[in-house]
Formats: sequence, structure tokens, C-alpha cells
Amino acid sequence: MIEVEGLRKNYGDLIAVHDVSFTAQPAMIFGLLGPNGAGKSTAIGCISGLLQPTAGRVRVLGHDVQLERRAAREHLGVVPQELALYEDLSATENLAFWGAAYAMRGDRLNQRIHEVLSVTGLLDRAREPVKRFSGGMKRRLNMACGMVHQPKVLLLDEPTVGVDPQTRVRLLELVRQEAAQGTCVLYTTHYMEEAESLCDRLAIIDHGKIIAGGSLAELRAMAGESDVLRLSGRFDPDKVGDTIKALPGAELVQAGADSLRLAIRGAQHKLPELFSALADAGSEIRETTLTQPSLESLFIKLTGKELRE
Amino acid sequence: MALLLWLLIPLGVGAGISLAFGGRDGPQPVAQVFIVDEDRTFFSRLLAGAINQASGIMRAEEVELAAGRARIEKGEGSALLIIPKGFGEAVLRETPARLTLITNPEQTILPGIVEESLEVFADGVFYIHRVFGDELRMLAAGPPAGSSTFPDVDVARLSVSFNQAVQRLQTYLFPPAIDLQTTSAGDAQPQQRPMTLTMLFLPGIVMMSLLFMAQGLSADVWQERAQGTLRRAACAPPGLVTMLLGKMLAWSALILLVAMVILALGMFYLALPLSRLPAALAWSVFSGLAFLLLMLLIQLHATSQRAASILTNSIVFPLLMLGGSMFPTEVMPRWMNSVNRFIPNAWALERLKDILFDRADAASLLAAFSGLSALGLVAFLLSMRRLRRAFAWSQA
Repeated sequence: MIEVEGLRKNYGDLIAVHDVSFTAQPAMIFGLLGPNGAGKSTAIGCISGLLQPTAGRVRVLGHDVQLERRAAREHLGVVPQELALYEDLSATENLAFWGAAYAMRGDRLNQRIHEVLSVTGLLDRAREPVKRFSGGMKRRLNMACGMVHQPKVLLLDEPTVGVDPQTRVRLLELVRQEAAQGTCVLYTTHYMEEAESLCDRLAIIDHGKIIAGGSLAELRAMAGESDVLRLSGRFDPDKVGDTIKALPGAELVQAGADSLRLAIRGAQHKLPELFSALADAGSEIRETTLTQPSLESLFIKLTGKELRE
Repeated sequence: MALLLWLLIPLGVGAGISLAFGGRDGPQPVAQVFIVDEDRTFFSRLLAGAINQASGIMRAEEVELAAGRARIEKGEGSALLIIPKGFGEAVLRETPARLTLITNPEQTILPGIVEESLEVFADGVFYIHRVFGDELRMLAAGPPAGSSTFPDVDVARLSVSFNQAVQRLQTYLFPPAIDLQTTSAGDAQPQQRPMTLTMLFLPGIVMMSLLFMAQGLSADVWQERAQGTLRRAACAPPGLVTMLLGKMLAWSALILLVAMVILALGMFYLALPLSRLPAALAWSVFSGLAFLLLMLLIQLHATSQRAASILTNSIVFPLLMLGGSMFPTEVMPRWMNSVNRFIPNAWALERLKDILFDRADAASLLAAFSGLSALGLVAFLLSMRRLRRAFAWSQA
């Protein structure tokens, strides 16, 4: 398991991670969801021992990652966001190298290499140099190198960035299989759909702080029953504010001269009334998007901006 | 490809230099001494002749004063010796005489040899006076007043006196009372060939190769960072220290391979005893590792790979020039020799020279070993600090 208590990481005046605390259990996928620059990778860096935290503690299987580095790292597998492969070596050679770094030897290592190549679908290309692999294949091998030593804790930092949908499905399936075998998985992503489909528990992080956490059901309940309505056009924010206040069940989340974001319960029934009120307020509407309650709506509700901004 | 370059560039430079300086048996360095003989006596000619006879190390040329000064200022010779009028008389009478020696400021070793030779000559005069002093004073006094030649009785007396002196010395000289024998422990040495410029270049070629290798191999850290493998290694149980130590082991093997090729070829070509090869190899590997760690430290503190390349190039070439790889320290001007005592590759080069030419002593080897070890250790520790704190984490 992973225990993070009061984790803080400063870079000068910039606070990249601010008092982050959570616990991830074995046989579970814990997600860290947040936009780019939220502090997810920095948090992963501190948990993996790559970065020294400014404050706080991280324990992996009971071992402090700073004070008991070797013991913590022995059971830790890391799949970084960027590829970490020796391009001139073959897939087998890469796995052999990284397996040996985790003290795997001989038949046990060879058997594990075979297993991992098999589950990642790379067995038939095992002896080719990695530089000849496609991007998707490299991503699969990248994950394989993090898993070859059968870690009890697996950290994945946005492993599906830039991959094709087919590879993404394959990688997510691998992650589920690892968790099913008892591994404690910490998964960071900025894709809401991934987090919703994969994770058992989630923490939403923004500007280095966890702004919400819990199971998927708990988070959806936090998001409430409101739909999120996005409008683009021409608006007078002051007049719009007064107009929306007068509408029952509607909440103005964000208003600008060319866009509006509203949370409305049962929006599909209230659209005509809303458009009429906005038109009376002098607004011009060019585009409308209606989204049902989700993690993204929760994120918007909590931060006032979209996950992908 | 890089391995070939590290071998071929220094070997190519060495081959070029060897051809330029007459090949394997090329010229020895010779001190050209210009002599202004204002005395023109037996003793002044004896001095000039002694310089010419000095085992091929010195060569005398008689010149006029003005011409001699001009040529020395142009750097054409190693020294200008002015023998004043009255020198011969002073030698006979054992009175002070001043020889003026003007040396070429751009040379250190060869003018030093001339100066030492003059000191030996002065010592020789002193001891001749101890043995033949009375006879020489008699000659110095000259013939009796009113005569231009020595009377027969004085000539006979001088002859008997010289003969008796020789007879007294005979017991010490024939055979010599002190017989100096030199033997070498270990292999019987073939007759030593005199040191040539080509021989002096061999250690410089080795150091050139080591510096190029240090520059090239240390840049590997940028590739590791770009590939992301540095970050993964930092998260693995062995950590970055073990990774760096492992790299040093691999680097040692490469250095050994390249040094072995260059040294074996060079020593075979120059007919140097191959029994010195193991010690030379060990020293080369040790030096190469020290250079590598220093270059690695520089690489890690550059802001980008391109900046690192510019920085290391701007350091390597001056080090090669000042450290004796481009031309031997024996022919360097004094100012360069005073600078290169602070340069690590010069320390390594001089000790490699000592090993190759069988003149190594424990004290100087230990001093160089300590200096390079200390630099290497500091570079290792600072490199680890830099790797842990920033380099491994930064995006490529």
C-alpha cells in the first residue's frame, strides 16, 4: 500500500504539491485526476523517491521512501510518462536489464520476461531493437519494464498519453490485470473517461492540492444532479448574473463576455425558458453544449474551469 | 564509430608527427650554441671543442657578437656564449673570469644542458689546477725577462714535473681506482637508443586519445536523460551511484582497449620494451577514468547538450596544447611549462613518460596518483549530487 501524509514540494516560491494526503490499498486502482500542471507528476516523483519532498512523508509497504530507500524501491514499479527504454537494445534486453536492476536472475527472470512480453503482445518482436517499434509498442514495453519485477506497488504516470485507442485499451486492461493480482496501483491521468472507467478510488488534484477524493460513486454524488450547460456567443456578465439568479435550479458557474457556464438541474426541460431570459438580457447565443453530471462537472464545480484547459 | 575515431585521430596525428620529425629514428633535440670567442687562445678553443664533443647533445658555431645576439633574439639557437678576452690567461693563473651565457627564453631544457656543461668545465679547470697547479702557474708566468721562449732547463723541469704528476695519478687512473658499473634489475636491456622527438610524442598521443574518450563517453549521460532511462534508474533499488559505478567499469574496459592498441603499436614501432606495457596500461586506465569524471562534471552542469559540447571542446583543446599532447614539454617555452604543472593531463602524461622510458620513481608517481584521485573523487561526488538533485529529473 501507499501512504502519503502532508506531502509538500516547493520549487522556490512555487508550491507544486501542497499538503497532499491519501492512502492507496492493495488490489485497488487509485487515481489521481487533474489537468496538466496540477502536480500529479511531482507527486509521483516524490512517491517514487526521485524527488525529495519539502515536507511530509511517503511510505510504500510501510517503508519510508526517503529513509528506507532501497527497501521501498524493491517492491515499487514505475511507469513514467515519458518513455524510458534503451532504443538500441531489443525488448528482451531492456526487460533483462531492468529486471536485473531489481535483483531478478536466471530462470525466474527469463520466465517473467516471457510472461510480460506475452501479456503486452510483444513476444513476436522480442528480439528486435526498440528503435524499430511503433509508438504504441514502445508504450507497452515501457509498461512492461515497470512490471517485469512483479512489484507490489505500481505507479503509472499518464501512461496512455499520445497512444492510439487500441493501445490505450490494451494498456488499461494490463493495469486492471495487475490490480486483480493484488498489486496496489496508483494511476495519474487528465482523462476523465480513463479515471471513471479504471479507478476504484480517486483524488482530484488542482494547483497542487487535492480538492476532492473518494470512490467514484461518492464523487458523482458531490458533483450533484446538475447538468453542465456551456454557451458561447455574446453576453453581458452583469445582466446574465441577475437573469440566472431569477431562474430556479440554475447556478452560474462562470461568466464571460463570450462564454457562459451554468449548472442546471433538469436542463433539458429548462432550455427554452433559459434562452428566452438570456435573449431578454441582450445575449446572443451561437453554440450550446449540454453535459450530464460527471467528474468533469465536479471539477468545473470545484474549480470553475474545465479539466482540459 | 566513436571507438574508431578515438583510435584513428591520435594515431593519425602521431603518424604525421613521426613522419614530420624523421620517423622512428628521428632527430634528438640538440642545443645549438653560438660562441663569440674574443680570447682566441688554446683554452677558449678547448671550451668550444668540448661543447662540440658533447655526445651529440650540443653543437657549437662561432659567430660575431652582433650576429650572435640577433640570432638568439630570433630564437634560432639555444644559447649564446661570450668568451671574453683574457679568458685563457685567467684559466692559467686561476683568477676569476666571466663567461657570459645568453639563453633562448623560449627553451628551458636545452639551455639548461649548456649551463650545466659550463659548470662541469669550470669544475674541470679547478681540479686540473689542484693536480697541475704549479706547472700551470709556471707557464702563466711566462719566459724570463728578455727572452721570448722558455729556456731548455725550464722546459725540462716542466716535462719532468708533468711526467711525475702523471705517474702519481697512474696508480689511480690505470686501471681506475673506482670502477663504476651499472646493471638493470630484470630483463637485460638492449642498448638504449637516444630519446627522439617521436618517442616523446607517444605519451602525448595516448593522453590525446584519453581526453577525446573522456569527452565522448561523458556525453552519454545526455542520451540516458533523453531516453528517460536515467530517471528509471534513479527509481530502481541500486540507484544512481551503482549506475555510475557500473558505467565506470564499462568505461574502463573501453579505455583499456584503446590504450592497449595505441601503446602496443607505439611501443612496437619505437622498439620500447613491452614489459613496461602493463604498468603503462594501468596508469592510462586510471588517468582516463579521472578525466572522464572531470568531463562528466562539466557535462552535468551545462544547460543543454549543445552547450556541453561547446564547453568541453573549449576545454579539451587547450588542455591538449598545454598538457604536452600537441608537442612535448621538453620543447615547450618556459611559460607553458610553468602553466602545465597545474594541468591534470600534464601530470598524467609526465608519469606515463616516466613509466615508458623506465625512469619512474615512487614519489612522483604517488604525487600524481594522489592529485588525480582527489580530483576524480571530488568530481564523482559533485556529479552524484548534480544527478540526484536536478539532472535526472529534468526533461530532456
